[in-house]
Amino acid sequence: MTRYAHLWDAGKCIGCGACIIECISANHSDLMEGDNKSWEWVPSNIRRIEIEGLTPKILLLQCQHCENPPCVHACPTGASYIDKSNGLVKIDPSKCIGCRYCVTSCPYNARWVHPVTGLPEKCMGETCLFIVEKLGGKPVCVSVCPAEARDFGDIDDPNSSISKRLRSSRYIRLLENKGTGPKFFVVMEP
Amino acid sequence: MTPINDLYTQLQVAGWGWLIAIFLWLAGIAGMGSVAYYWVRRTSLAITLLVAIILALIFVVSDLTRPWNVPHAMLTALFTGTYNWFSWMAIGIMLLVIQLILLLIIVYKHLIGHRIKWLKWISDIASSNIYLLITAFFGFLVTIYSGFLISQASGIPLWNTPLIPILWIISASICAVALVEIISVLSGDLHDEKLLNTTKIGFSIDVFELFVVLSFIYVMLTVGTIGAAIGAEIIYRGELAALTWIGVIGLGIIYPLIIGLYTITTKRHDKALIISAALLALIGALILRYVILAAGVYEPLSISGFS
Repeated sequence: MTRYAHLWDAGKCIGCGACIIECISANHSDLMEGDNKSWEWVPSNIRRIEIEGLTPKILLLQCQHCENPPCVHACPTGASYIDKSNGLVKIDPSKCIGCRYCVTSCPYNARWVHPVTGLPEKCMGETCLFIVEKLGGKPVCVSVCPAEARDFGDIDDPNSSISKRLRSSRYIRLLENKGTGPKFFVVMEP
Repeated sequence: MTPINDLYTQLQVAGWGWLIAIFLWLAGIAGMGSVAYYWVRRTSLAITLLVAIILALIFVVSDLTRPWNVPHAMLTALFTGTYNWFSWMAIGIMLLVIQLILLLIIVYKHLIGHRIKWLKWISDIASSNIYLLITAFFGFLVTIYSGFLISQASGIPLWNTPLIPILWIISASICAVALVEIISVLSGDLHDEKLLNTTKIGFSIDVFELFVVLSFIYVMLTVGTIGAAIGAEIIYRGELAALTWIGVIGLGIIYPLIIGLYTITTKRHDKALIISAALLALIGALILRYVILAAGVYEPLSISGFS
């Protein structure tokens, strides 16, 4: 079975913000001049957290594509669901009523409300899904990263680049104690 | 308060504000009011409960960001088998609709009665104790649901406590008592002794609510996660402190307690005082819901994300 996951290497990340900008450009070009009022941030599915006194110094946060996702359990209509073919957490806009229960249920605050459509947006956007599922490529945040701080792939495939990197890295997953089974791996600085 | 650079309130991110607070409040009134109706079977109470549940549904739908998509989404979810029967939001939709139908039938009994002969069975059913017990039971479930809806939203640690459903039941019970008091005083057809008993019940629940509200703040402040503690701090000494201490505690609990104590000890029924206490208790319950909603913050990942 395919289980897609994201990796972000805190030690390699140079904090250039290319992934954030490319996410807007690819997935939310309709909001290029708009705001993400939920996070008071640019309309990207990735948000940046500054950390004082800890390592890493910044944290880039996005949907963790949890294996036990609270947003999916909360959704009344099944608009938020796990794609069983690849383990990604997706949104079906045709079933979304905009109750935002998924937004209050996400411990990672990884969803934001689209100011025009009212949809709870999150990683991955339509363009990234198209690239991954139809073209067999990697999400734009991964392909644009100049420092190779990001990776994406099937963690059930031992030969995938993400599996190889995970085998040779010290990594953590965020809020593991919540029992969500996040598939966003933060590789820590050595 | 320690400055945290990734502190997000749910009010900012999800936007559950006054509309949802009013929805939860009305659902509680209709819910525990249905329990009170088992003992106080008045037309005015039945109509008030029906209006409350209809308004609750209007408020919750008006808070949706995609309300036009509700019919399509619901039908698609039902026909494709994706309707999530285990989501508290979905459970609530079903409970509210059931309660609406149950109350509609009771109001029909009060307003139409046996006037339409071929429908007189409806009024007969609505007059039976079994039917009213079922209505009370579903009313209780609606109130419980309105608490679990919040407490199961796992992104907001302040809400993730069983104290929320308990608090909602207590607070909604006070609303039901307040409603009965108002209706009794305005209709003027309750004996003084019955009014006194209602006041005694209200007084006891008020004492209990004060204890639970303070316990909730204390527990979340001391043994909750960082996010829960920040939320509790917002409630008791942050930007919502004035609403908490004046609106919820002062006007919503202490004032009705004083009036209740005065009424019980002197056995004098100053109707203006009783109505003012009941109204403030109702308003206090609404503010309580808003304060708890608005104080909800996400777990700051800059601090607790690596635990």
